[in-house]
Amino acid sequence: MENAAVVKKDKTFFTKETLLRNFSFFGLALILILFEVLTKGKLLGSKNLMNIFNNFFSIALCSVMYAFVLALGELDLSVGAIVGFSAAMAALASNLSIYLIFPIAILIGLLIGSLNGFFTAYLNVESFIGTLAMSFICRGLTTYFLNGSVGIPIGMRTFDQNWIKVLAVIVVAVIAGFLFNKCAFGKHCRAVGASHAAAQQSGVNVKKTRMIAFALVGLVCGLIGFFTLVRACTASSKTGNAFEFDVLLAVLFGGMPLSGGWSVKFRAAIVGSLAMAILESGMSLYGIDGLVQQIVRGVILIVVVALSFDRKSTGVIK
Amino acid sequence: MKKYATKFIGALALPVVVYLVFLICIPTRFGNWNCIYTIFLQSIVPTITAYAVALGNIPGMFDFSVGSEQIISGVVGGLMAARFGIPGMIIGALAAALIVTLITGLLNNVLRIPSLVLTMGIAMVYEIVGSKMAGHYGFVQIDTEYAIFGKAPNIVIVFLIAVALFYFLFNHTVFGYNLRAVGSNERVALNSGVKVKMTKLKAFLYGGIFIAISAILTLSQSGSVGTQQSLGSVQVIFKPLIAVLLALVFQKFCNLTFGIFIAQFTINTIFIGLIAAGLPDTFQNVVLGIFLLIVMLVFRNTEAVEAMKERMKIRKEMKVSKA
Amino acid sequence: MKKLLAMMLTGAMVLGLTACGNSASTQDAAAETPAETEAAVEEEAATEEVAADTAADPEKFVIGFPWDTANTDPTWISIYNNVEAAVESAGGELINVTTDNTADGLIDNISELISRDVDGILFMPASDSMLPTVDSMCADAGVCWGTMFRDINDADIKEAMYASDWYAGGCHEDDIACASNIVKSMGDMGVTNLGVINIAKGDTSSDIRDKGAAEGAKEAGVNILNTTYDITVTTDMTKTIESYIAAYPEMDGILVLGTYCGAAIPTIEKALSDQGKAGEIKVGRIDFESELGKYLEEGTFHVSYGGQQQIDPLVSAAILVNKVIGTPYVEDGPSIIITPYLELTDAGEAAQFNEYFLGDEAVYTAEEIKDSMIRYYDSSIDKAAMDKLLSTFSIADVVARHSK
Repeated sequence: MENAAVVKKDKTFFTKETLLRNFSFFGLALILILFEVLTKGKLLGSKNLMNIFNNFFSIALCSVMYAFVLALGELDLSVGAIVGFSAAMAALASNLSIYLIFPIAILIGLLIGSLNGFFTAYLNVESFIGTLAMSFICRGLTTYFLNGSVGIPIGMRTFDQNWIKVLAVIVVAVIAGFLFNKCAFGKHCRAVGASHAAAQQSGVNVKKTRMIAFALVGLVCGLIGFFTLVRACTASSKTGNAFEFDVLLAVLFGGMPLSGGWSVKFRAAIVGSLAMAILESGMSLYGIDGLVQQIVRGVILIVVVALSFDRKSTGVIK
Repeated sequence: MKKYATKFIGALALPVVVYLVFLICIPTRFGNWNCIYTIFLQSIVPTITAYAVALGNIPGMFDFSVGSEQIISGVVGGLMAARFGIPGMIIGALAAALIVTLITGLLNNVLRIPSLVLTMGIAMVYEIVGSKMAGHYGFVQIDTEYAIFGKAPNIVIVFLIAVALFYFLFNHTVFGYNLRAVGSNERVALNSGVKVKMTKLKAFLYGGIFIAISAILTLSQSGSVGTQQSLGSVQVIFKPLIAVLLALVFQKFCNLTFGIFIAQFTINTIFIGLIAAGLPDTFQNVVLGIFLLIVMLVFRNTEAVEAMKERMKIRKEMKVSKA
Repeated sequence: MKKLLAMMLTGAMVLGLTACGNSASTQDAAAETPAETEAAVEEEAATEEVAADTAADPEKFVIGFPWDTANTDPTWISIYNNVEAAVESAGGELINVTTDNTADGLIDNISELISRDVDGILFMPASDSMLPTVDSMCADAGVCWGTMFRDINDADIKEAMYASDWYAGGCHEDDIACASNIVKSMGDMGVTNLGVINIAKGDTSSDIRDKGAAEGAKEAGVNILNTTYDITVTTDMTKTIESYIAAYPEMDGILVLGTYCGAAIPTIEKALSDQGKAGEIKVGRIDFESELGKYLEEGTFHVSYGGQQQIDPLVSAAILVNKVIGTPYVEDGPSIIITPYLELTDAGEAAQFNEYFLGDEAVYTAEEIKDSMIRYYDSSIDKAAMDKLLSTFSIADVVARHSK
C-alpha cells in the first residue's frame, strides 16, 4: 500500500523531479551545446574529440572505481599520490626490465589501496584521515626515491595508443558498472553506506566490503599510473599532482552525494568525468584564460550541483 | 581535579615524547630553549587557523574554503593598513573575513549541497578574487611599523585571547553545545530542537573571526600575504586539519582547545626536528603521514585491544574453572 | 531518456574516436616520409627567402604555448608577454593552453595544441626524460618544438634531440655556473654556513642549481647546512627561516636558488629582522623579484643573479618562430642560445627592473624583434649576431630603448 503511494507520488512529480534530479545530464548537454556553438563546431571536431578523451581518460578510470568508496560514504584523498607513487616505482623498475613496468605499477597501486582499505576497515581509521596520511607518505616517498625525475625507454609509448586506452576505459567501466549494479558487492557497498548496522545485521561482511572498495581504487590508480607513465615516458615528484581534486570534482559534478548509500548512482561517475572533460576542452578551445577558467569552473560546479543534487533521498547533507 | 590533571599530562606526553626523540638523535641542535620557543611561536598561527577549521569540522562539514578566505582577509587587511594604519588592518581583515564567511555560510544554507562541493567551488572563486585584489605583484605587503602583532609578547597575548575565545565558545555557550550536538547526530539534534542551519551559519561566522586573527598574525609575522591559484589554498589547510583531527582523537584526554595546540606543537616539533637533523624536507611528509597513522591506530584501537585483553582474561578464567 | 542520451553521447564519442583514429593514421603516413616533408619545408623556405627580398610578411603561422595563465605572479605574466611579442613580430598568432608545467600535464597540452593545427610549440620542459616523447609526438604531426629556460643534461637524450629535425632549439642559462658563482660570491662576503631554499626536486633547474651550488660551496669552502624544497606560501617560508635560525645558530647566509613563492625575499627579510638577524645573515637569490631594491638599499640583501626570466622566453620564442617560418639561425641542428644572467647591484636598478622587465611591455618590443631577431626580414641575422646582440643586453639597455 505504502509502496503504491510512493510510486504514484513519483509519477505525479515526474517531469520537474526528473529534470532537476538529472540536471547533471542536462548540464552536460548544455555545456556541450554551449561550447560547440561558441567554438563554431570545433569542440566536437574529429581532432578535438581526442583531446576530450585524453582529459576524460584518467579521471573516468578513477571515478568509476571511486563510486564504490563514495557509495560506502567514504573518501579517498590519496588517489593522486598513488598514481604518482606507482608511476615512480614502475619507472624505477624499468631499469631492471621493461617487462616489470606494468606489473609493478598495478601491484603498487593495489598494495597502497589495500593498505588504505585495511586501515579503514579493520583498524577503524576514518578514511578521510587514513588516506590523507597515506597521500603524505606516498608523496614523500615518491620524491625521495625518484630524487629528480626518471625516464623509461621511449619505445613504451606504443602503449599510449587511442585504441588501447579506449578499450581500457570501456573494460574498466563495464566491470565497475557490472559490479556496482548487478553484483552483490556493489549492493553491499551501498547498503553499508546507507546504514552500517543494518547491513551488518543482514549478513554483509562490512569490513571485507570496505577493504575491497579501497583496494579497487588503488588498483585502478596503479593502472592510471601505468598509462601516465607510458604517455610521458617520465615519472616525477609532480606526477598525479592534484589528481585527487580532479576526480573529486568530477564525481561531484556528476551529482554524486558524499553521504553514501542508495542514492549513489554509477552513471554520476561517467557523466561527471565527461562533463569535466568537455568543459575543460571547451574553455581552452574558446581561448578563455586560466584565471577566468578557474572562476567558471568554480561557479559551474556549484550551480550544476545545486540544481541537480538529490536532496530528498539524501538524509543529512554534510 | 586530580584526574583532570593526569589526563592533561597524558596529552602533553605526545609532544614531549616527539621532542625527546629528536633531542636524543641530535642533542646539540635541540637542546636549547630557543628551539622550543621557536616551535611555540610557530605553532600560534596554525593553531588559530585550525580553530577556524575545527568550527566547520565538528558539525561534520568539510570546509575547504578557509585557506582562500584567509588570503582575502589578509589582502584586505594589508591594503587597509596602508591607508588607515593598524585600525584599518584589524577592521579590514575582520570585515573581509566576516563577509566572505557569511557568503559561504548563507550559500551553504540556501543551496543545501554537500559542503565539500560548495567550499571547493567557492575556494576557486575566492582565490581569484584575492589575486585580483592583491594587484600586479600578486601579494600584499605591510609596513614594518604595522607588524606589531608579529613579535612576542604581542603575538602571545593575541594567541591567549584567541584560545580563551575558542574555549569559551566551545565549552560555555549554547552555540558550542549545539555544534557538538549537530556533529554527533544531525538528525537527532534537529529533532530535539537545535536550529541546525543557524548553528552552521554561526560556525562559519565565528570561524571568520579566527580566520581574521590568523590573517592579521600572518601579515604581521611574514610581513606579506601571497595569493594562491588552482586550489593551492586548499593544500595549505591540510596541516591545520591534521591538528584538528588529532585533537578530536585525544579529546578523551584533553580539551579540544588545548588539544589542537598540542597537536600543532607536535607537528612543528617534527618539522624543526627534521630540519635540524639535516634531513631533506621530503621526509617531513612521510614522517607526518606515518605519525598521523600511528596516532590514529593507537587511539582508535585502544578499546579494541582492551576488549581483547578482557576476552583473554575471561577465557583464562574459564579454563581455570574448567580445570 | 537518460539511457538514450547516454548511449547517444557514447556513440558520438566512439564515432569521433574512430574518425580521429583514421586521421591519426593519415598523419602517420605523412610522417613516414619526414625527408619529403623536410624538403617541402626547405622549398618553402627558399621561396620565402625570395619573398624576403620583397620584404613581405611570412605566411601566417600559429605558435602554441602551454603556460599557467592563472598565475598572477608578475614574472609569470611577463614571460607570457615576452613570448607574445616574439610571435607577433613576424605576424604569427599565439595560442595558449593553461598548464601545470608538470611532465604529464605538458604532454597533454602538446597533444591538444597539435590537434589545433599549430605550426610550432614552445614550452618549459619539466624534465629531460619527457623530451623524447614530445619529439616523437611532434615528428608524427610535423610540428616544430622549442624549449625555454632548460638545457638538456642527459647526454643520450641530448644527442637524440639535437639530431631531430623538429627540435628548433631554445635558450637556457648556465645554471651550474650561476649557482656556483653566487655561492662563491657569498663566500667572498664571509659566509661559511649556508641555508638553502630551492624549487621542487625533479625540476631540471632545481637539480642543476643544487649541483652548481654544491660545486661552488666546495670551491669556496662554504658549508651547506640544509636545503628546503618546494615552498609555495609565505607562512612556510617564514617557518623555514625561523627553523633554520633555531636549529643552526651558526648559519650566516641564506641562499634562494629558486622558488615559486611570491614575496619570497620580503618574507625572508621580515623573518630575519624579527629574529634580530637582518644584515647579519647574508641573503642571496637567483632570479630577480620585485622588492629587491628596498633591501639592497637597506643593506640587508646582498646579491642576486637574474633578469633571464624575460629575455630567455623572448629569444626562445624567436628561435622557434625563425624555424617555423623557414629561416632558422642555424641551418643544421637546433639553435641553442645561452642567455646571460644579469647582476642586480643597487636599488635604482631594481626599480628599473620592476618598471621595464615586470611591466606590460616585453624587453624587446615586437618591432625591435622584427628588426633584430627575425632572419626572414634580414638574412644577416644568425646565431653569431644573436650572441652579439645578447651580450649587450642589460637593464640599462632596456631602459635606454624603452624610456619615453
